Amino acid sequence: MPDALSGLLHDATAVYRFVDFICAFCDRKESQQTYGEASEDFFDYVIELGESTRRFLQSIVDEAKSDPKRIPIYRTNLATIKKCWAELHVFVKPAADGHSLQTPTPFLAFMEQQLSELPSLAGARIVILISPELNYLQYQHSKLKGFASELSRTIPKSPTFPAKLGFIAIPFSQGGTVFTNTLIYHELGHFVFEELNKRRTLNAAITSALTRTLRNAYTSLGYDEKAWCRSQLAIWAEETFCDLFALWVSGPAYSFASIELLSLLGMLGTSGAKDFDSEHPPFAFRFSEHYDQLKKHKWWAAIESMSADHPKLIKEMGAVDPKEYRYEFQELVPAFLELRDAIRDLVKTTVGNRDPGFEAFKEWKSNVHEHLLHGIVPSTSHGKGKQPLAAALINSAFCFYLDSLAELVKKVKDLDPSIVEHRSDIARRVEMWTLKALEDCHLLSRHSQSQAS
Amino acid sequence: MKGSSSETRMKYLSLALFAQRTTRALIDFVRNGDEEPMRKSLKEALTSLRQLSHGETSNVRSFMYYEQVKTLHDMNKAPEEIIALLRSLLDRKGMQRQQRANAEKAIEFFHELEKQALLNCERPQEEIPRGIRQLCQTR
Repeated sequence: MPDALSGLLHDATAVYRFVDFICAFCDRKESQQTYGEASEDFFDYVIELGESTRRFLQSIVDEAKSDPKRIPIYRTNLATIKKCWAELHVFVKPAADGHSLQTPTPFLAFMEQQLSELPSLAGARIVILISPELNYLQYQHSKLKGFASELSRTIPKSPTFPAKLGFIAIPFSQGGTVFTNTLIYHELGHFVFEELNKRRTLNAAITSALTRTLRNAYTSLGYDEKAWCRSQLAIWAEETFCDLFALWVSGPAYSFASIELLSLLGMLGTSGAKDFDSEHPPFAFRFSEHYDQLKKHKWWAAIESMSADHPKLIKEMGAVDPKEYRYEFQELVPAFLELRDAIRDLVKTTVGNRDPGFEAFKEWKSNVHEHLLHGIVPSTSHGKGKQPLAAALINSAFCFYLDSLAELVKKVKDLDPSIVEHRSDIARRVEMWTLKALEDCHLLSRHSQSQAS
Repeated sequence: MKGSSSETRMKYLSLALFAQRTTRALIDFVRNGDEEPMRKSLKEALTSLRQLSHGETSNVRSFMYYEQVKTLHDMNKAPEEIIALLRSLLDRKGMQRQQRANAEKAIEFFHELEKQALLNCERPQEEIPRGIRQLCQTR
């Protein structure tokens, strides 16, 4: 056997074994744990893709045998296939860790339902990834679908990537929480942006903003440099889209959760709040968008008088003069700011006529407050009001947690609101009751639907 | 400089897969005269390259992102040169022998593109193209 061919055969065998291991891992996990339907579909996709990949590897070797002068090409092909599987490998383990004992299942079911109600997203489902990162925003996966489609197009007879399948990552420490997990709505935004190809909608506005603000300096750039400028604006625009999407679908709970996370990471109040980086616009800009949308959707009047610092911080950060925003390449900032309206419009058309949830909050806030204050799961009034209770639960419970936790701690014998351990225990219970209420509402709604049909 | 993220790597790999598909379609054409898959891939490539050379964002996923455009740029080949080559293949210019020779050139190009995408996938992310730095210094 010529050396080049035996080298190719060696490479193909190594890739085969790698793929085989991942498929066997998925198969084993499916039989050992309970997963949501979306995760099972993802594992099935990987297993099927594995079968077609193994056949493809053999066909590469067969082709190389009949055309040895092209062996260097086939070796490159194998290297690509191996790297692609290495990327899938990155997702398989966190997805395997996302079984039902590790995740806030009722909250995720609620989110899936909200997602399904949006235009063109009926039937959308979510695969849960358990991440070692505390920061939800650092786990990037929104390009997986496009990448998987390319893989399916390249490997003959491979399965198509399951339709409307999104991925969200939860820090492993936050599986049982509700409030911090409101940040997941931002991740859902990335899924929606990718799934509905919103980048394409923004392309014209991006090019036009660059041409208007940079003029000749932009038009005289090389094609790769122009692409860099467009890409940078598109990245910031997508982040802004995700924030506004999250805020529209989940309400101020998303702003509160953002403040909580930034506070935990020690990123609040630093001078960096005005700085763009290559992945995100500055917090000051992001919170100014929060502030505007909260006012537009009537939320602001209802939350500004809260005793917690959160609304004050949103307002303060949002009030930073855009002239103070900084970036290494300052020229791009005015071009990005020109996109504000286009992004807002894009969010509006994406969510369609979806109610931002304020009316439900107004109707149910006191009721939820009273329940939680007495240690009662706030689902007993389900089906009794004009607005759905589930839509108001998260925001009402979050407001309770921020403003009235001490009141509840005081009510419990031998507990002291100034003792961190006591507060922490009661906060955990408030989240549990909220999660239970979401589960109850979900079950009761399904029950009423089945009775009606 | 920072290590490339999974998302960035997937952009490079999407391009590598596209290049691989095109190379294989071209090999099939040279070997068996199978024209249809080649035409489909070349049309996709041609549309993207034309949009890029006009300073527009490609609508085709394989060339939609900066990392993918950068890979093409890293090959030091003018898009116009490749556009002309692909155009001649799609227009069936020349005798069969000439067409095969053009197909071989295209195979070489797409194989290089796949290799460059794999190479960039491994490299730490380069933040800013030089031209942008110059632009900001002169303003």
